[in-house]
Parts: sequence; C-alpha cells; structure tokens
Amino acid sequence: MAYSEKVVDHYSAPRNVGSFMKNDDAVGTGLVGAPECGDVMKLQIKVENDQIVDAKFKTFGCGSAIASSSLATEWVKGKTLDEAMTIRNTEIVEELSLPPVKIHCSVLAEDAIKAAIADYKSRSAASAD
Amino acid sequence: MDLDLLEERYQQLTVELHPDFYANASKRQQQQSELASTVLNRAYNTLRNPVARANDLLPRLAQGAALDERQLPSGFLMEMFGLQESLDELLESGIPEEIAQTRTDLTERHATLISGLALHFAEAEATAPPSTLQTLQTDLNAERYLHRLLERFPV
Repeated sequence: MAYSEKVVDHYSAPRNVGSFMKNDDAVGTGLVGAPECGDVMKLQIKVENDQIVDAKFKTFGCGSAIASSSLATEWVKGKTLDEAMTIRNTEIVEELSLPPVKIHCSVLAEDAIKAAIADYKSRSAASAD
Repeated sequence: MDLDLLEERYQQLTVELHPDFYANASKRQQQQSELASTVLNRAYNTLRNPVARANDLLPRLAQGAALDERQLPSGFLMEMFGLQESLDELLESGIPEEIAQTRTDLTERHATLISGLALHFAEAEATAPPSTLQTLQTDLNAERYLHRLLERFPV
C-alpha cells in the first residue's frame, strides 16, 4: 500500500516531536494505544488562558499513526480547548487521504487530543482546590 | 494443537485441492480448486500460529458476548510507552549484550503470555465464564504491544 504524499511528508519530517514536563500545571498529557496493532501515542498540550500555545507528540507506530499525531499537534496549536475538542478523526482522514485500514490511526490521534485536554482540565481543577 | 497432524492434513488436502492438479479440468472445477485452496491456506496459517488461532477462536467461544476489545492490564500502556522510549536509546547506543538481554527478556514475556492463553482457553472451553473470556481478550490486546516491541530488534 502506498502512503499519500502528505503522510510521507509528516512521516519523514514530523512536526513537534518531543515532550513537555508532565508535572507542569500548564501541560496536559494524553497517552493512548491502538490494540488493533499495538501502536502507542503520547500527545501533550501546553495551555495558557484556555488556549493551546504549544503541542508535542511522540508516537511508536506506523507511518499513518505518526502522520496523524504530527498533524494533530499542528492543528491544536493556537486553538482554544473547546475548539480543539471539535477536531474529528474524519478531518484527519481527509487531510492525509488515509485508506480504510488506517482509519484507526486517525481515531487514535483524536483520542489523544481529548485525553490531553481531559488530563489538563483534571489537573487544573485539582490545583485550584 | 497437534502441529504434526495439522501439517499432515494440510499436505493431504493440498494434494486434493491444488489448482496444479486441475490444469486439464473444466473451468468450473478450476475455479472451485482455487477457492478451496485459498480457504485451506487461510485456515492452515491461522491454525499453526498460536496468536492467530486465539484471535480467531475467541469470538467463536464468546458467541456474541460483548468483550472489551480495548482493555489492557492496569498501567500496561504507560509501561509499553516507557519500554518503547528506552528501546530508542538502547538500539541507538546500547552495547550488544544489553540489547540481546532486553530482547531475551521481552521474548520470554511474550512467550509466557502466549502459553497463558492456552491455559485460559482450556478453562474457557470447559465452562466459558465471562471473566476468563475477558482475560483472554485483554491478553490478546497486550500481545500486540509486545509484538510491536519485539519487531524493533534487528534480525
């Protein structure tokens, strides 16, 4: 199966690879896995005043999973938390022209964004107490 | 699973079904031979691989009972991510002995998981308690992550 040009682009030059300090209160971490194939993905967001100012990821998986998470970090940057929550895996599928067998990679990226936001919210709620 | 018996039956059926033996038969017989050989090969490849066999058997055994296909042992995902990250470093700059040791450890863990499947299957076939079926599902989910780690070692 041939990867689309955009997948190859993200895969060969992934954006925003790396990590933030997990215990930073401004950081939310989402760690998700795809049991269909054993891929693991970590996506982190840095938040200021409800806006995502930076994002990082690290994915161990196939080219489509790496491209999906790379794209996800690009898309969440600059968005508010509410806006980022509306990103759908179908938009990732469309942007990267993912074939049906790779749709679960885009689902993983959507889940990672949601998990990172949920983690940020639960941590900021806890530190406000 | 008696692998010798499987091999023997596979060879017998191949002789009976393979398209090479139908080169001069009718078009219809040729098509049937092709179809039957495809089914035979798929069955053979599933049966001889313990993990493929387990993945195929479990839904049959569960008979439509809803199993959580995403469930993993507690803390497992974080552990797998950590192992993947340390493997990055190890494969890049680790000494060969360390790499070999890590590979041996992971191979053993993978093998233990797979032999555990056989025990759980025996139990599940006897009484099919839902908890055993879910244990099998969870182990099969975990297996793919370990498989992925093992794939990273150079051959």
